[in-house]
Amino acid sequence: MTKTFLRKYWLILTSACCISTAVVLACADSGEYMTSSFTPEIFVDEAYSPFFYSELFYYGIGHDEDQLIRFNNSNVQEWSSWLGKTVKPETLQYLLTTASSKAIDSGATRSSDPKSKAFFSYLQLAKKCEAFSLTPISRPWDEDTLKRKPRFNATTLNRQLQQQFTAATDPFLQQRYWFQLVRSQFFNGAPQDALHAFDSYAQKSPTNTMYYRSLSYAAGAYYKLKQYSKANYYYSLVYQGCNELKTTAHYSFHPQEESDWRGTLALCRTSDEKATLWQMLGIFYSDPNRALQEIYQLNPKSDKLDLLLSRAVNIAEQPGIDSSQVALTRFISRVAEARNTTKPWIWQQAAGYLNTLADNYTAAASWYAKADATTPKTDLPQAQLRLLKLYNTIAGSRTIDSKLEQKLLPELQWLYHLKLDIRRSCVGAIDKKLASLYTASGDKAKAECFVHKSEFFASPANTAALKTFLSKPSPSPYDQLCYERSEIKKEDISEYQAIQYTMADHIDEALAVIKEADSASKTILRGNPFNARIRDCHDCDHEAPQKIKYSKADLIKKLKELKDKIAAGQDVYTNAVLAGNAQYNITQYGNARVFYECKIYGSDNSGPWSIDSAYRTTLISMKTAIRYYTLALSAAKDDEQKAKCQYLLAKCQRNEWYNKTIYAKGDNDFADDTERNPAFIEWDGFKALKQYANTKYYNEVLKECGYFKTYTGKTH
Amino acid sequence: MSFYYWRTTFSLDSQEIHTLRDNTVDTLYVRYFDVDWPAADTAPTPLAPIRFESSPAGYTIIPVVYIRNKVFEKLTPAALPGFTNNVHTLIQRISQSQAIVSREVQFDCDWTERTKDTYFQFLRTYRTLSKQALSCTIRLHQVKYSGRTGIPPVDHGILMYYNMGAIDTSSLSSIYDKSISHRYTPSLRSYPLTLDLALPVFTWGLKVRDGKVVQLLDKMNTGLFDKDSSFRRQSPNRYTAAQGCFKSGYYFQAGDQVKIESVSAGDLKEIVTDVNQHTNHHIRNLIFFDLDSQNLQSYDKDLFKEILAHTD
Repeated sequence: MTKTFLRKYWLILTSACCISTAVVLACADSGEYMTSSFTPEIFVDEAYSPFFYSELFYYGIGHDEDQLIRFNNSNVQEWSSWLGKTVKPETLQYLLTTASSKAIDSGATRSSDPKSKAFFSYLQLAKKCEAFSLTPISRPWDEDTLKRKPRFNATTLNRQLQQQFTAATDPFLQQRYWFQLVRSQFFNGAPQDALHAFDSYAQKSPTNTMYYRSLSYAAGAYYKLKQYSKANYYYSLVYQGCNELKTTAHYSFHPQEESDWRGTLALCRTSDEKATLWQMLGIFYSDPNRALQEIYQLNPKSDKLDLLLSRAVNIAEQPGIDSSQVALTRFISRVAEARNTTKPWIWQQAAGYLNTLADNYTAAASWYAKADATTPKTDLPQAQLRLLKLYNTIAGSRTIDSKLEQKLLPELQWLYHLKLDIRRSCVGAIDKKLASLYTASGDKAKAECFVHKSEFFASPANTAALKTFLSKPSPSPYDQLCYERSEIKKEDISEYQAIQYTMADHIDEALAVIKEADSASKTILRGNPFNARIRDCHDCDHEAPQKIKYSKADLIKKLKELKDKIAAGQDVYTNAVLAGNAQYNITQYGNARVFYECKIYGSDNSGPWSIDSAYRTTLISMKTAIRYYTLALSAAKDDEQKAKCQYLLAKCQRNEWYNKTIYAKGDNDFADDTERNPAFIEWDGFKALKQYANTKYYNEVLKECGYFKTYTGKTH
Repeated sequence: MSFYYWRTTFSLDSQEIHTLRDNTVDTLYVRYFDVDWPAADTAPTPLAPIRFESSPAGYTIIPVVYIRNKVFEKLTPAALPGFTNNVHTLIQRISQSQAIVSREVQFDCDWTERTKDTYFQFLRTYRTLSKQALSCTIRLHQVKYSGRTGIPPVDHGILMYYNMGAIDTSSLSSIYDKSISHRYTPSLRSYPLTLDLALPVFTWGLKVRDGKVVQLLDKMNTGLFDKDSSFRRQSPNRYTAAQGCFKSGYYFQAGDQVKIESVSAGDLKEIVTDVNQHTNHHIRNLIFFDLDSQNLQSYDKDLFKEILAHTD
């Protein structure tokens, strides 16, 4: 099977199905760290941040593509310090980063003082090196790297670099010539030549960025020679010593066999170097437990433990049980107990948290009590501790009563208004647990405040209970917390009730309750809701000029007018058709869908399938529209009117057929199944409409409704 | 007979060259690149295009491109011509870099009912663009359910007689198992496309942790583990790591298990017998997956001749 060239540790399975690993990626607070309430930034050195546990290849970075620009800024700064005032910073920036060799040559002829001259001599050679050292990342489909790159003949260049290196007296220049020579040999010569060049000056060189850049090419040379022990050892030194190259060193680090890994360990001169290696293994080879134990044994005060601790806990936070978690908790507890690391407090917090995750709430609480005494009194460490304690308290509660509410109140107030930059995925779990405690105790209203469930409001009793709770004349501070937390506010419920009543044709009740939802009631409907077309066209209705625009409240008021007139026997046909149209239009099928759109029912449904299943039937029901069209039919005076009613009823019948079939399933299945989805059905309305073949309306329908035309064709 | 070449660097060693010569193989099906559509991207992208370290001169090379089904799920009709063009251009570029002239191109895609239309349209568009013969891989489920997944518009197909099972910790091999293949072979008789037969001659390992397969161990065989003191043998093809260790560039945690899956000479003969039976001896060519001395060393050097003879 294929091993990709670019991502060497991922297998692309060409003839097999894809494997998903044990790590389940939960929905994230941030795209980088999945589920987490344990913030590495609080206690791990920023230099290690690319290695925080993440679904990205490198946390905060994704894939590292900075190869061509990584050292531009530091390079300019270093030359600037060395050159002093003789070259302006912007000029330096230009010369080092963008200038062509021609521009550099011309600059060289114009330089007069010794330092500038030396700089330009160096720059002229360095510019030549760009031919092989600046390899851009190839874009997909643009694979210019297919052809073997013509081998750069570096004989002359290397000789010049060697000459300059030997002749240089200033260590700054000497080191740079050395670097260029090592790199050139790596790219253009035999690996042994690169190593020879490297070794000739490595001991004398200060261990700065240039040194580590050279060291990384020496590592690469050993790798080419398949001397993996040495190569990986050098990579670990680069990883340890140079922050900019941590990602590169990490990516290049690749032990092959146990023997070369042991060889690498054997090359270490200090226990700190060994700790580095174990940390690298722990990160990239996903064995943080082993790495933690090895480093702890070497040196409990090693700061290399911090990153691994953060990764181990972040991994433990992901859903899915890992059998190594028990061992991990035991180990971390042991270390926390011993208090011999540089930050005993974070081990205590971690021990507590792992116990919380394992449902050992009492053990967790005692760890948090210890952490109380040791955690630094600064914002972030304190905030994390407070968060974890709160989570533990709530997760471990079996019931909820006013005593617990009072205890939790200040903590929850703090949590819901927390602005500090700490991870807090557990807030979701906290809300969920509170909701389930309230449900168990029978307090449905409070449960809904913490976890909104849309189907909650399908029950009138639930709706009334929450409305009452949210309407307390003198709510307590805890009540206020619930009000704030609740996604659905009092006005949202009133609006919902108004819509419900309207659709059920209880207009008086609707009028009363829409008053309580003042701002929502003012929402303007996009088209004329009292209009109906032969072929529904919402966009047409929305774009058509409207002398009167209706708000939600206006529509209900108008329906009241129509209803009163119908009751009084005034112009029943016309008013019933108008009312029927409105009832049709406020369903999903109509041009005034906006009427039903509210927090509880939802909005932006492109089709009935996306409507919440708890409410789908209501929002697509033709019942009320049919009732009004039927009433209109019975009051119709002539054939034109009767024809119109029959057609409008046919539309409703069609919709009801959809409701019974494809929309009843909710799976948006467009399968080409002609049995289930016949191409044509003879609606009762169509059948009845036939008798009005002499009317104008009949002919309009024939013109606009293809199905009706087909129907008349079939039955003639 | 011929072989698939599926490594990202084209470089034949002496064992591979000898095998080709001994079996008078002149045609190689070479994977040029994969195509995938990573979630974060807005377009499909080629992966790991092959690099040539030794020359393919002397062999007829047929380019093969593996396209993940996901690509056709996401590709819109409007984007299809551009995509086809990109694929064609890249194939051309690779061929030209080695002066390869091929009259045929092969596509490997595990297409489904949902992607059938897009994939088939891709094949048609490609053919018009390149004016070359086209072939594509056919998996067993696509033979059996060809009513749903359709017959691709190609000149002939390659029946991929491997990777038919689930990659899991069960006793069955995911590469080949008679009980699995028997569910499909009766459908071969009525399949309308001419078929070559692609046979597996590879092994791999499954790294198992907490009862789940977490990694594929490319081309690892039992021989490697038998000799390794870091591993304890549980059964002829299963091992457990006694301690955390590196091996062939992979890392094993203490307690990780390894399940080795392989295909024996007997399996291969069994396959050929079955396919002969269900196609009335209408196998056109044999293509072995894949040419790699790591695979070859598991088999007798006369194996390929024997299997070929078995097709008669």
